[in-house]
Formats: sequence, structure tokens, C-alpha cells
Amino acid sequence: MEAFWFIVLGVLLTLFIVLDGFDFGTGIIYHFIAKTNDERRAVLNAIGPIWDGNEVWLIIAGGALFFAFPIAYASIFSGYYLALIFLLWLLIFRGLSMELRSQISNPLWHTFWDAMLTIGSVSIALLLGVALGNVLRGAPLDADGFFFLPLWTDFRTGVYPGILDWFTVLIGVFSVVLLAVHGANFIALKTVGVIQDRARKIARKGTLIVILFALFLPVASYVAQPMLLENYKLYWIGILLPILSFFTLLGLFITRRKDNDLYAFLSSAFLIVLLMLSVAFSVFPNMIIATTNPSYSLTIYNTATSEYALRTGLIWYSVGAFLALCYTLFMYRSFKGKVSLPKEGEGY
Amino acid sequence: MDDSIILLDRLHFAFNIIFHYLFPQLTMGLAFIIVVFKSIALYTKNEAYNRAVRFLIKLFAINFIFGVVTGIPMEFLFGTNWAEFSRRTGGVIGNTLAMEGLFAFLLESAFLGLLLFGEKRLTPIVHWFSALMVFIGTWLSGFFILATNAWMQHPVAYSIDSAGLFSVTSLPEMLTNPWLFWQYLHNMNATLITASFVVASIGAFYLLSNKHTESARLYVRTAVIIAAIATVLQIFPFGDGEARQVFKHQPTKAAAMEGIFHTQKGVPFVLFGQPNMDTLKLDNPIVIPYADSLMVTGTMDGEIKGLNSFPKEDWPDSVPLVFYAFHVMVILGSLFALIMLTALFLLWRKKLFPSRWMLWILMLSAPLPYLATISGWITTEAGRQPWLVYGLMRTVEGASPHVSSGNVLFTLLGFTLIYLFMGMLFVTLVIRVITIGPPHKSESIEITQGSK
Repeated sequence: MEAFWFIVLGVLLTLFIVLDGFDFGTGIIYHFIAKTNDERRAVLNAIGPIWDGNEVWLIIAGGALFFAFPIAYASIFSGYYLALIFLLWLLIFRGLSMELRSQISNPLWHTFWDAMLTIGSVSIALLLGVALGNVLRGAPLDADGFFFLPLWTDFRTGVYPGILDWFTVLIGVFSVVLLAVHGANFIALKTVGVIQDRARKIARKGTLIVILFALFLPVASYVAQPMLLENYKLYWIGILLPILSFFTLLGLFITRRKDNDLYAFLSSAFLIVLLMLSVAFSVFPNMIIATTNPSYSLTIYNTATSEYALRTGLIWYSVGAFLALCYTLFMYRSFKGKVSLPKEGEGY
Repeated sequence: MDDSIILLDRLHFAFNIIFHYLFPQLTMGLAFIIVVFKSIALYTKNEAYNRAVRFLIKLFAINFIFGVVTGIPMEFLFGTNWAEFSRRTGGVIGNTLAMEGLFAFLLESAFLGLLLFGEKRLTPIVHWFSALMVFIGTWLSGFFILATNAWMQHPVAYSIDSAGLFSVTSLPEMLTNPWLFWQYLHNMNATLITASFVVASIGAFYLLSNKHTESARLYVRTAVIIAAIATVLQIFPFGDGEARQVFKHQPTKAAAMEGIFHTQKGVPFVLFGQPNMDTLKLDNPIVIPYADSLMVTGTMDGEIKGLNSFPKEDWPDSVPLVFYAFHVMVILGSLFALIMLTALFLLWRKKLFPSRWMLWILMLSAPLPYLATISGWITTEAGRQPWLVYGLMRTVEGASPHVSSGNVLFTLLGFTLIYLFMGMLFVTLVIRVITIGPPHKSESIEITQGSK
């Protein structure tokens, strides 16, 4: 039962990264693909109506963590205190930037919120990568199941690292590049003409950098936390994940060369899914790996809520997930196709 | 652990939740009013209602965005600042908080996009349906959050293990917590009061400045009717029901609210006064004799327990705050009913629109329901102290054990800065939307031509 909720949590987080990921990616490449006000509005109209619905998956994932693994929720959120609060502040500004830009038709107002969008998106993408890096590396858990990490110490991994160290920053930068490619793929799919050309070009270059990262990230992860290999030794089937990732990356490279926008977007989405799967597979059944003493590690078994709650949760979560799926599909259907630029004062 | 941290953590949460709740209280009430307008437009085919509601939707959108971006932090702050509370009670409140995200949040967000940008793409029925779904989403959201709070006020359906961890034993029982019934009605009706006062205020402003009079009349008329009903219901039975359960289950909160220090018979209702914590008496009291006993026990000389019947460590840590917050709420609530019943009478006699003095009152009273709502919540939350979960877990036990007070102050200052900026931004944008106002008849023809 605990393992099932671990999977649910993984699915929700992956949904968030895949869906809101292209919103962040769009924000990262925003200043490169859209130069004039009309171009910027066209880009914003591609993500405007759906970003809020995409970000909801973060809330739902947060809720699922609180519900199914309250002890892990309490430990993680208080331990990464500063990083989380920064994330919240950035999310506030990113959300406002998209919604408020169109409210006042003044070039200075536009410039300010454009800057906020890009700064917010780059920093959030970086932080999400750093978070993933922290999950892989582990944290200095105390015997009481809590910890507190400063933002940085000496940038080395080890027993008492900071939230930022060479490894987590590396993953953070990787995340910025990957989400930029993902966002560019989405924009190429949703727009035409000059914006589409620029997005395609960025996606092509970005893919090469992603490939470069892919070569040494697995080694870096092993250096940062040797324990990550344990599950691969235990279950040989895990070896499929890197192999599949390799082929997906190859697919992304080829579809991008051929400018097949739909398949390129699906490839980057699937690549993110596979990477999240690899992370989940490597750390399972740990929620937080203790760098201090392996017996302090928080696992899905010692942090889960009661059996009754997990079982009833199964019922209402199925109902909720089904409903959620219905209106997400309904929403995407209503805003499907290429964006058309509404007249000034309407849309984004 | 350093003592100031609990105070800082409490301030942190109070500041965040008060700022956040400035927005949803309008969103929830306004969602209802939008559904009313859309329904009338759909039923009577009167385009004037559709034109008028377009402006309300714009106002709703800005408000909703601020509600969302300030609401996301709330779910995280349980874990960041109240980690021990989350660890121990997550087995209960994790359920309702997760339900809010899954059932309500996505519903609101998905249909808001359609409500905002879909009028041209969708048929009138589907657009009306989007409005209805947004309304249901926001009110469901309110339900799950209040279910969480109701459990902290009046814990039901739980078990505690030897390590002090709480688990829910029956989800249906938790969702039908008897406390929740009155609290939900009282709170949701308050959102109707806030929204109808705001809509009436904007309408009155337009009428007084002789602009957008067609829409303005619809705003004032609809809002006054809704507000008159809501303000009366708010006193009886909703407010009365809520107060009764406080007297029954939380006698220390009740005593602090009313400023009753000593257990006595024939307790008067205090209209005005200052609790003196040194002498344990009310200074300068103005009272209605026997009224409190009559309301609470049903007889003039009924006995009510005062604070002295309970150990001092179980008293709310700020009795005067609870007392003032409660009295601000009660006095404003009575004033609201008076204003809106007068306005309703004038409306019925067809004298409301020419009565400029009444329109002035309506225009200026828009901020008051916000004040009343905040006061009500301060009464509830400060009155629950020293308990985090009433009778079971004290507030001092709940904070994050490894987060230092310096870090809490740092993020509190950060939030203060950001929210000050956002507050100014919000006011600027709302003033702008109000200045532009609802569309005129000529504009709406263009819009209808654009639709299928």
C-alpha cells in the first residue's frame, strides 16, 4: 500500500514537471523567441490559459505527500525551509507576471513583467533541479527525523552538505536546459512563422547540450550518493531505464532535426518521465536518504499515514483523479490548436 | 529552543493567512453573484445582465489570481513552520488538505480559463456552466479548508498512538464534524456579505458619478437583495449557532469573547469595555443586563462559566484580543443588517436610486465586511489558544524543531515586503478596472457579432 502511494506521488510530481515544465521552459526562452509586443503576447497566449491548471499539480502533489507520508512532508518542508520559501516567492512572481502584464498597456509595465517571467522561470527551473539533486544525494537527518539545511556550506557533498553543492547545482543547470528544450518544443508546436523558427533553433541547440549532460550525469550521481546503485544491483530490470532514456534522447535528436514538432514535444515529455522514473527507482523505498546514519533514513514505511487512511484514500483519490482528468482534457480541448492573437485588451 | 519562535511562527501564519484570505472571501461570494447574473441572463435573455456580469468576471479574475498566488504558500507553511504539528496530525488533516487540492483547486482553475476567455468560443449554456463550476469549486475549496479547521477546533474521528501521532478513524465522520455545520454556514454566508457589499459599493459609485447607470442599477439592486438576506441570516441562525457551540465546547474562548472573568448568574451582554488583566475585571463597561444569560442558557438568571473556573494555563494568551475581535465582528454584523434592511426598504419603495445619502453609505461600507471577517477569524483562532488542536495539542508543541527564529523572521520579513508590494499592485489594478467600468451597449453589439 505504501509503495502504491509512492507511485501516485511520483506520477503527480512527474505530471507537474512535464506540464508546468513547458511553461517554465517557455519563460526561460521567452526573450529569445519573442521580440515585439505582439510576438510576446502570442507566446503568452499559448501558455496563459493553462499555466494555472498545470501548477495545480504541484498543489495536488504537495497534498498527496502531506496526506500519505505526513512525517516525510514535515521533515522535508522544514529541512529545506529556505529553498521552499524561495520557491514560493518565485512562484508568486511568475504567476503574477503572466496575469498582470496584459492589465496595463504600457511598454515599461510590459518590460517589468517580462523580466519577472524570465527571472522567475529560470530560477524555478534551477530550484526544481536542485530539489531533485537533493533527493538523490540525501540530507543530514537527525535521530528525531528532522534536519535543517543551510543554503550552502562548502559546495561539497558529504555528511553535512548545503542545499546547493556542486552536484545539486549541476542537476539544477541541467534542469534549466532540459525545460528550455521542452518549452521550445511546446512553442514550436503552438505557433507559426518567426516565433516557431526561433523556438525550433533553440530546441535543436538545447538538445545537443542535453546529450552532453546525459553523458556524465549518471557518473556524477554515483559519486554524490553511491547508494543509488543498490536498486539496480537488486533489480536488473532497472537497467531498462537508462536504455530507454538513451533511445528517447536519440528520438528527440532525430525528430528535432526533421522539425517534427509533435514528436519532438512528445520525446522531451517522455524523456522527463523517464528521468523522474529513474530517480524514483534509484531512491525507492527511501523518501530522504540520511547522509548521517543509514538507519535514520526516512522511508515510505516509517513515514506513511495509517492503513485506514491509505485504504480510504484509494477510493476518493480514484474519483478525484478521474474528475481531474476529465476537466484537464476539457480545458486542453477548448484551447487546442495554434494560438491566434486576440486584439489588445483581451487575452494575455 | 528560543521562546520568541512560537510568537514569530504564529505571527508568520497569521500574517500570511489574513493576507491570503482577503482574496478568497471575495472570490467565493462573487462566484455566487456571477452565477446569479449569468442565470438571470440565460433565463430572461436580457443582454444587460450579460454586459454587467462581464465586468464582475474581470474583477473576479484579478482577485482570483491574487488568491491563487498567495494560497499556494499556505499549503507549504504547515510543513515549513509547523513541522511537528504536521508530523503528528498529518494523519488527520492531510486528508482534507489533499482533498482540497484534488477536488476543488483543479476544478476552479480549469473552469476559470473558460469563464474568462470562453464567452466567444462557447455556447451561452456552456459559459453559464463554467461559471457554475467555478462557484462549486470555490465553495468546495472552502469546505475542505473549514473541515480542517473544524477538526482543530473540535477534534472528532481520531486515535492517538503511543508516540503521539494522530490518525483518522472515519473519514465520513471527520467530514460531517458537527462543528463544521455552523462554521461552514457562518463563514460562507460571510463571503456573500463581503461580495454583495463590494458589488453594491461599485454600483453606488457609478450611480453617484452618473456613469454606467444601466449596469450600476443591476449591481445595486441584486447586491442589496442578496446582502439583506445574508446579513439577517448571519445573525440568526448562523452567528447564533456558531456562538452556541463555542459556549458548549470551548468555554474558555466563550468567556474571553464576552469578557466574563467570574462564573456568575444573570450575565449581561457587554457592548463596550476594556478587559483589565491585572484586576480581572472589565473597565468602563456598557452592558445590556441579563442578555448574555438569556441568549446562551434561555433564562435570565442562567449561569455562565467565567475564566476563573479554569486553570490559567488554559486561558487564551490574549484575552483582550479575543474580546475586541469578537465585539468588532458583532457590532459590524449588526450594522450591516441595519444598512442593508434600510437599503432594501428604499429599493422596495422605489426610492433607493434617488437617495444619494444611502448610495454614499453603500459606497463607503465596502471595506467593513473584510474587517468583520478578519475579526471573526481572529476570535476563532486566538480564542482557540493555547491549543493548536483543542484540548489535545498545545501550540507551543507544534513548531518546526530545527528551524531557528532567525530564519522565521527572515521569511516573515520577505513575505511582508512581497505582500506590501502586491497589495499596492492589487489596489492599482482594481481602481483601473473600476475606472474603465462595464461595457456599454454599443461595445457589446460588437462582441455578440464576433460570437457564433
